Amino acid sequence: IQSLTKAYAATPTNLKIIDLYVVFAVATALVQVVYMGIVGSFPFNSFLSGVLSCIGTAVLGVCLRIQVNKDNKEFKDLPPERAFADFVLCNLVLHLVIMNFLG
Amino acid sequence: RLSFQLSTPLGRTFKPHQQVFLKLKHESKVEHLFVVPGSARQFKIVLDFLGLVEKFYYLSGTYDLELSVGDASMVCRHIHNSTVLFGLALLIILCLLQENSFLRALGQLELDLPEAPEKAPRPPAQAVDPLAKFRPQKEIEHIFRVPEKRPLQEVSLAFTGLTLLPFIGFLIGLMRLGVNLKNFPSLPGPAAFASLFHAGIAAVLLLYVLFWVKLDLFTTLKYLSFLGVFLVFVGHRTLSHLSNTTAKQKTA
Repeated sequence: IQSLTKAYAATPTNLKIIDLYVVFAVATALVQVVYMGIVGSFPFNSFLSGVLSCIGTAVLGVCLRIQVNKDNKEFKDLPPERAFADFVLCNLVLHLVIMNFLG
Repeated sequence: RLSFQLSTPLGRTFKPHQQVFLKLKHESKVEHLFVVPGSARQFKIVLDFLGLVEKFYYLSGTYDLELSVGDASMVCRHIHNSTVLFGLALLIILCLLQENSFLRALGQLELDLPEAPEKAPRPPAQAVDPLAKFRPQKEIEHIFRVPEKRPLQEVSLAFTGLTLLPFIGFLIGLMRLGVNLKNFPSLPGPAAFASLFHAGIAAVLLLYVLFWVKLDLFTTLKYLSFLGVFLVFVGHRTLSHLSNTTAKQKTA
């Protein structure tokens, strides 16, 4: 465990920010699931929409992280700004769909 | 016992070819049809009610008697009233030359039948009047769907606050990581674009909130297209400027 935390501290700040974002997106999703577990899933579409929005942004954050990470061979030539632009665009589309589904 | 005799106006008796029926109709519209066999001169039918009691489905009450005679060659112009004596009846019907067969009500009959045993056959279900479905029907009471159980207001609000908790944690984490805004362009030109970019994204999110609260999808899409085009331009300018500066920083 100690070696893991040490290695993690060495990651660039950019990636740490993205990681933080992903963690909190998942945490929000968990809170929603717990809430649904307590009160029952009456407005089921709202529940789905909320959970999916959290998971969607988490996934997009992960994609961004992969693309920005300099150690990844696949995306070497991709400027990180382009990745960020993709991230923003996909997030906007996702949120539109979610707001529509929220009802 | 019921017997009758048919005669033509010419005085000769004749026999319709097996088209003589005696119909007993119960008040609840259950009907029984009997064919009356006849010889050359007379039609005679013996109704043994005791033996037929099961056939009648044990329905007591008032029955209507009808006599129906049909033949192609028989015509009716004029029908006498006649009396029916149950037990010994002699019915004389005069028919003149028209192309009608006739259906004649003979009167009513009270039948008092014994009680139905356990296994008696039920009377067949009567045909529903086919026009009944076009008349006003029974009124249906509309029951609104019972609304589902909602949680208490306090529980909902508590959980809304709980949902925002990770977001606050995110901000705190950002501060702890030392996130900075150093790369924000200081030159007025690119700075304007950068702030416009951020403003554009904020406007889109605000539009989404409005969409949820008030607008419908079509107006939202319309505004979204405008904002999107604007955002594409501004974003492109900002990000390319940013990438240029980072490239310059790397090479320099």
